[in-house]
Amino acid sequence: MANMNTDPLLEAFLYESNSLLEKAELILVDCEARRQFDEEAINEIFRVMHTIKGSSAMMEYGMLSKTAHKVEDLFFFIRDKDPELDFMRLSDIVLAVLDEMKVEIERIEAGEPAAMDASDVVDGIEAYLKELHSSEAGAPADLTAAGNSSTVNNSESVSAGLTNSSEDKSPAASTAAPVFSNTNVQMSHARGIPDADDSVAENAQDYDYQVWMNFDENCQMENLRAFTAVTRLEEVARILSQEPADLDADDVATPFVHDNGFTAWLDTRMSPQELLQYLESNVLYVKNVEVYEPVVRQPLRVDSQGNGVNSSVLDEQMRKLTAAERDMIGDSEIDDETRKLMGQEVPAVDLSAAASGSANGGSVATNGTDQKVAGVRSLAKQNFISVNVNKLDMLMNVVGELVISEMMVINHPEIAKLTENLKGFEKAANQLKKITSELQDIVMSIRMVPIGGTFQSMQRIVRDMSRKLNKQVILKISGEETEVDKNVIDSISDPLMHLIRNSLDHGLEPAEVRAQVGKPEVGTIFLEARTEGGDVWLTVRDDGRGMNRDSIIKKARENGLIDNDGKDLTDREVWNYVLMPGFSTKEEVTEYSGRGVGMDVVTKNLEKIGGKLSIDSEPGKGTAFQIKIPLTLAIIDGMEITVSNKRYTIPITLIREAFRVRDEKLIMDSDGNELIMIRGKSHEVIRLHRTFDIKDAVTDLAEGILLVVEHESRNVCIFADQLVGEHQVVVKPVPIYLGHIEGVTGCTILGDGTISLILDINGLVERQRREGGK
Amino acid sequence: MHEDRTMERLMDEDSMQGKYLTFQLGDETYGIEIRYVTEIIGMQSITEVPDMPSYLRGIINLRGKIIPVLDMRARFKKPLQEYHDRTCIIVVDIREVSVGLIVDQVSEVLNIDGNNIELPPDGRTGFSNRFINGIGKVGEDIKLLIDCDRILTKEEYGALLDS
Repeated sequence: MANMNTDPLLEAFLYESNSLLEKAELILVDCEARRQFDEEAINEIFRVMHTIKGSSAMMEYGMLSKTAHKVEDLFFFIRDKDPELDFMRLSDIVLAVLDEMKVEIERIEAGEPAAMDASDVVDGIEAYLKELHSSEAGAPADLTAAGNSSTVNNSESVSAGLTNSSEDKSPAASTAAPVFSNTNVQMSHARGIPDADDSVAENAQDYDYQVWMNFDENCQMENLRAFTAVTRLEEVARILSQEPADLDADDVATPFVHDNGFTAWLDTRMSPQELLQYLESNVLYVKNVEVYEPVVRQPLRVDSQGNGVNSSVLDEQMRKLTAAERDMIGDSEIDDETRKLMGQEVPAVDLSAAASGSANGGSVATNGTDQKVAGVRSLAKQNFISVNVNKLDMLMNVVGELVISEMMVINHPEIAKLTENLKGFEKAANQLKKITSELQDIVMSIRMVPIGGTFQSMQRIVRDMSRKLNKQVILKISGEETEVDKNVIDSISDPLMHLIRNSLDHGLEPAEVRAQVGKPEVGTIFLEARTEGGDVWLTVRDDGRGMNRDSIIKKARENGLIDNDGKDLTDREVWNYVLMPGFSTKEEVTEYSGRGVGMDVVTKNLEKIGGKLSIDSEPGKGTAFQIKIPLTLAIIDGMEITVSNKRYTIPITLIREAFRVRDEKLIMDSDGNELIMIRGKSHEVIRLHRTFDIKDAVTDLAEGILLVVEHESRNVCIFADQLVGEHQVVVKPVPIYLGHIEGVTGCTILGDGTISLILDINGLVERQRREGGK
Repeated sequence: MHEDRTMERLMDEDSMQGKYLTFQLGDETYGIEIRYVTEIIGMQSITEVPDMPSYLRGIINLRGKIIPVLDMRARFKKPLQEYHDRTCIIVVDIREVSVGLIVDQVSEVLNIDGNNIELPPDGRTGFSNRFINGIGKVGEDIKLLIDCDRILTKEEYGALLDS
């Protein structure tokens, strides 16, 4: 657990990076399983890497940042060029990188100096990138080319509506006509490549789009606005060059952007419409945005005034999509110069109908993407914050204290002495009660975490193992919404991992064997969670070969655990031998060798949270490991009952009915156990006052209450003095110091601060069986 | 929270050295090293827990934390006495285990110099010898200094504590 002294910034960084890496891993494993890297997944990984790159650079973890950058490059390429992918290879490489990054983050978390040496993985990426590049070069259809041709088709339809902006600065043609513009068409800006210096010209040879934008007159700090735009653009595009290049230089960049706007040359997979939309909705204070098609691959000759544009550029490239805003501006004021320029190349035919048609089409498509983008973003920016669990513990304690104080105030003896009408006070007190109990509920629920995350992380383990062992396996997950306490989550991940490994390694047969016995070649491991009877049950089940009784018994004999042929043992007893420490770790000969490796770790870990493991296995059909985690800190609905002055809680889910004895038949069996007949079935009666030896309790069955509770296949009756009511309770463990108390599974703090013990029906029945009827 | 306390404790180790919280059980005064003590609270309603030795009175809710409470009279096999308004629970934290100790009343915090502490007499003569690791002399008075580790050891359940 992160210790509390860490810098909050670092803590946030660690948390964020961890969850991002997890997310990326999940996406990768998922994509690989589906044999398809869809655009969204690629974008998401790209975004993840981008974020990590940024944040780790900020935290000055250079290597991490560099590595993330490499992965980003890789995915940028994939996104951009959409090459043929070898999924296995790709995810192998990327997962290796993710692992490296995780290790590094763990290191940072542990307070060790960053020591990542990612050169191997980085080399791996680079090699792969090169490969992709070379294969890409061979591919005839270039994406950009395709993009061009499609836009060219529209080009005739977009010449209409060319207008001039009101704040035209210098009536000169740009290097390329804006393809799309959000507001006025600004054909004649002196933007573009003002200096046409060599580097820009060079870059200009190979980019998808040129984006120009300016900002509101009075937005101030234009360089920062432009910087935001850069950041935003980097999420969706690769920026090749920008003007001004150095946005940090306030004194130069700010006035420059203010006067000339900001220009970037970039590669992106977005369509111009999308790019336009994206910038409009993501960058603040944008006044105008324009997107230009790339300049053809010939050097531009632009003089300082921006005149003298190679007309062939215009010829080919000049086109514009009338955006909705066009209507607002009207297409009246077409600058003469522009008209002249345009007129040469493109006849100013009013094709607004066609244009608006395509605009509509465009906008529909854009909307779709927009929503998608928005959806993804809302996922990324979920309304979650990370909180140190210790703080939650503290909060919970304070709330507990608050509840007690409230009780003390409301039930204060001095108030009881007051004789006047206390209606007002009572009303206020009730309100207070309501609020505090609500507060308590909320605090208690905060700690609950769905188990889904832990389950999902098992996908990776299955993936890795199945590749290594060359077995095809599907992991089927259900019940991931089951909520358990944060502490439980932390402690079950290891046991689950061991169990799944076991199932995969030993439970599932190789494909040939499976085919022979008529099973589907792809093995299945089920991972399930459910809440039952107030317990959380986790199941790891495979459809493999099941356990072999004889070999386990043989092993047990070899290890000296049994000294006969084990014929008298039940199956379950036999299976339990695999949980013994060191069992079957010695040799790797029998098919069951290895079963049990790590199994004692599983039991140890589970013991810590009071969990229990049971095994069911059927030869040929498979094995199921069931973990039962007691209610430790889980929130349950409990029925509060009293026996004398003591209070107990029974999980509601276990209670079938509650009734008072009238004329039901009471029988004594030969051991002195009381049995009661309910609707023709006999139920064992457990008198709590006897089990727990409580004095001053109701002893006459007719005066107390009987609760029929579930117990295995048969129900039993619990006899108590009376029912108090139903509450939601947070289960807390009984202090370890007290050891295990048979019949008590935990305790809970009631609203008034007193403690109620939560009954464990199995334990009560055990007690009863052992002690007899007394 | 816990860590904080440990820190405090480390820092205050010096100032805590030789300081004892003294309390009354019947006629005797006992002292407990102050570094173990986390707080002193008044008597609370105790929830009984089945199957416990008689001195283990049950559990209490200490601001959301559930801790066991030991009756020191019962622990030292002294005649029991009704709890009254001066009965206190001294909450101690020993080897990560928080427990409450029910005592007749808390007296004061005393400095007892190492020179003034004698080892308890050999042989298990007294009823409580095995819980005492020293006898402190303050003026004419005798303070029995408690061995905290031993109070916790439940011979009946000793193994459980270690687990």
